[in-house]
Amino acid sequence: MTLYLARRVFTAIVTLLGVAFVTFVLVKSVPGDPVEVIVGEQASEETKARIRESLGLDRPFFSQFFGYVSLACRGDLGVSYITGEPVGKTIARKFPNTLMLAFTAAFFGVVLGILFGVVAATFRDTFADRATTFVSVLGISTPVYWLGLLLIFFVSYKLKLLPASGTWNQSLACLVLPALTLGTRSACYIARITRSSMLEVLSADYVRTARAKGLSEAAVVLKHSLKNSLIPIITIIGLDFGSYLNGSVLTETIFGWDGLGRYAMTGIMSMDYPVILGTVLVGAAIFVIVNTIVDVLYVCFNPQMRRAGRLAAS
Amino acid sequence: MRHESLHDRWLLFPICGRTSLRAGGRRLAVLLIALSFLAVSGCGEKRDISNVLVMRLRGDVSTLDPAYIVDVSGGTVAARLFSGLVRFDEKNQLQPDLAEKWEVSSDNLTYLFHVRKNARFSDGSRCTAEDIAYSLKRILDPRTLSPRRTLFGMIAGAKDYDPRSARSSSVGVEAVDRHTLRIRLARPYSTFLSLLATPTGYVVSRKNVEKSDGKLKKEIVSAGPFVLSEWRRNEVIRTTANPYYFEGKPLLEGITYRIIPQDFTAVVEFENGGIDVLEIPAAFFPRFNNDPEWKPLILSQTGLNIHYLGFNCWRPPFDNPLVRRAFNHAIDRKRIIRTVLEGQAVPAVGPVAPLSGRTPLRQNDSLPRYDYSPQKALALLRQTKFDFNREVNFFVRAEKEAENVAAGIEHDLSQVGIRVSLKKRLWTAYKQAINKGEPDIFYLSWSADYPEAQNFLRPCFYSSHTPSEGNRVRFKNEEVDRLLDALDAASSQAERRRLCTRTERLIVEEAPWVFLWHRREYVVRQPWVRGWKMYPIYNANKLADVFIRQSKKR
Repeated sequence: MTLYLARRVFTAIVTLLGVAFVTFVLVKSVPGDPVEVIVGEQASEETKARIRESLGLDRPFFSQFFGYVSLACRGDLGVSYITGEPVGKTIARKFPNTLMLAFTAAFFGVVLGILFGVVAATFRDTFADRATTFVSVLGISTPVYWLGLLLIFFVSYKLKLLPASGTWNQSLACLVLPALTLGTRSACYIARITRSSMLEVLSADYVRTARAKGLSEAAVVLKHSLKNSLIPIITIIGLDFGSYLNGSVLTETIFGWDGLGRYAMTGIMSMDYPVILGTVLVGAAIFVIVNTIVDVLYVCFNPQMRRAGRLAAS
Repeated sequence: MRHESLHDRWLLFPICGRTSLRAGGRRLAVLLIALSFLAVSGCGEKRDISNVLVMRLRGDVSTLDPAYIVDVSGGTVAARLFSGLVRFDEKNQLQPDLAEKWEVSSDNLTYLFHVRKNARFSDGSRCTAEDIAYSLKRILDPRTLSPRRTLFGMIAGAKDYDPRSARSSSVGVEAVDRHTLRIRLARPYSTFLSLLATPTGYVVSRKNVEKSDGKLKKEIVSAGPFVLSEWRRNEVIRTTANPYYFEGKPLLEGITYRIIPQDFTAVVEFENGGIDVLEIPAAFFPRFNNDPEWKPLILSQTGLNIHYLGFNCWRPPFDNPLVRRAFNHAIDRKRIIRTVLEGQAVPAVGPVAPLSGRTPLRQNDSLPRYDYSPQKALALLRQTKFDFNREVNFFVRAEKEAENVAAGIEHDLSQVGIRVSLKKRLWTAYKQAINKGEPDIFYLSWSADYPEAQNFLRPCFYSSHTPSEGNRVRFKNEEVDRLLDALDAASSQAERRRLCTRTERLIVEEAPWVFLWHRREYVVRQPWVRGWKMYPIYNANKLADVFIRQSKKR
């Protein structure tokens, strides 16, 4: 296990360096001058040159890149060109908002997805199954952007139940619509995966044996079937959760949610290089960490993988 | 007992057999829906019922430090926090602000301002002539790196001002005593007072700036009607009434700016009462205008802006005024305004927006008109031997409305046989392409920072101005340059009016732009908001007279 973790950490470092380099190249090749974004076009050339120098933008590409990497290794993600605030500190301030949205969306996604998936599998070929399939296909095919606008229109505008935009007055009500928007797609995916995974397990010999032994249907479904169907579901949950933690640009923009996704978007629109690099690096790190956790969970949930790991180690 | 029966009915009973499972599924669904509604009804929005005006910003402001403000939203928010020596009213007339009166010497080179004795900053300290002199010198100080440093370049000694050198005392800004400020100019400059009314002319507290290491961030002491109380970036900016404001505490307790990027979300928030005043997004104008409930609450005005189709005047065939005039005749402005802009603009006849008040009025009748006439356009193009096989590079900003306008223009040009190649770019890349001279033609706009005809004419058509300074079309005309120089020095209204009219006439004849339209601005307010007025200049509205009728606020 230690060797496995060490290998994962090494891969993570290489991945992050690669991500930083690719992002750096992309950011630098986009047309536009960040100095003009900061001071406006009408500033004198002298002022622009001084600002360019103060930001280190006049240095050669590799000098800028290695300078950034060396600072990032020390935990310094630089200072925003526009606001003058440290990027790391701003990300730390916005991360709780993203985390709150991610957990709520994941909660919606996991609870509703597994519930509907189990119902659809257990009542195969009934109205409940068909309805679940219809709703989940609809949910998967609905663009997040459109779903968000629909929810705002019906829940906020027509029914006047919840506010349309959030975080500004720190009310929990602001969380519901963005979390539903973000979590719906995930719920639908999870429902589909749970259903097919459960169907596979429900027809297995050991489930028939469990029923023959007189176990209750609840015990058969929840204990013997669901637990053994969890591997593909965990994969989906892990991937979704990783992307939620990076912030969802569309959902956060529609609902005015002050999270990492919107921060990244603001950075991109204003050519704020430190913000773009910082958010991409932190996002990549989150993805790597979540994927590692998911891999460890595989091992915990699947004894076969545990045994395979032990065999490989020996 | 009751708890057990609930447990039996809802949780245990459904999962005891195949038939019961189906019935249980239905019950479970009903339970879930009921729980969702319970959750929803339990977390209704906390409504702000105080005397605080809630407004919407599309994006966060980059800074509120007057030395660095370059954006309209930053200037608008700062206008309510800071005061300058003078300001504009709703009729574009200059009014006293921190200066209760001023005198101008006969040679128009020396301005003597008498600062109000009751002027105070929000921390209670006195706002004196020394603070005002410090604020202006701070802009000119090269160490400040203010993007607006050149704005006050006409002040004597401004160009060489550097406090680190011995010559610094020669700059023409001087506090004569605590309540008198003298400014000397290197040359007469007829719009100098107007420049002082821009956000760059706002007065900061020296103590506050020095405490903030030279740049104001979130702890801002100011002398305007409101004071910054909270700024959560990308979320909300809150201000509260400044009890020390020289005109007395404002009627509002404060202003809250909610940052909502999406127009649709902002419109829903407004209709739900979460926003008190909303600048109507163009796409939602018909919705409000056709609603009898909202229509009486809409306020509008023609903005101080001009939307134009610019030519690259250095590149053939657009170096020929006849070709440019032909394009002016080829485009049906009224149709595009009607179909694309939903009637929210007025056709332009020249580069200057219709102005009033201090600025000389344009003599519209004296300008040559480019009426819509494909026949005239064709005749002019044939006269210049225009190559109809050549594709014209038409650059446009990648944004829905601009693209729709471009499609309308492309259609009109195709009617006279001009082939257009449309190239869409994001904003920064778009401006960069224009500044490099890549397009043949491009669609852009210009908005005034102060209500003077010079603010349209000089930046956009003075030959030594670079594209990034406003002369995007690289227009060069010695007579126009001479007239603009004379306009800067002119002191009498009659002389300025005469010079403005001549300059504008020359520009219209040369047609470096297709003069398209002036956009109208629309604001909708809630019925409980009172005292709201429209101001042509974005930073003129201090909101000190606005109030909320409490009984009506939901």
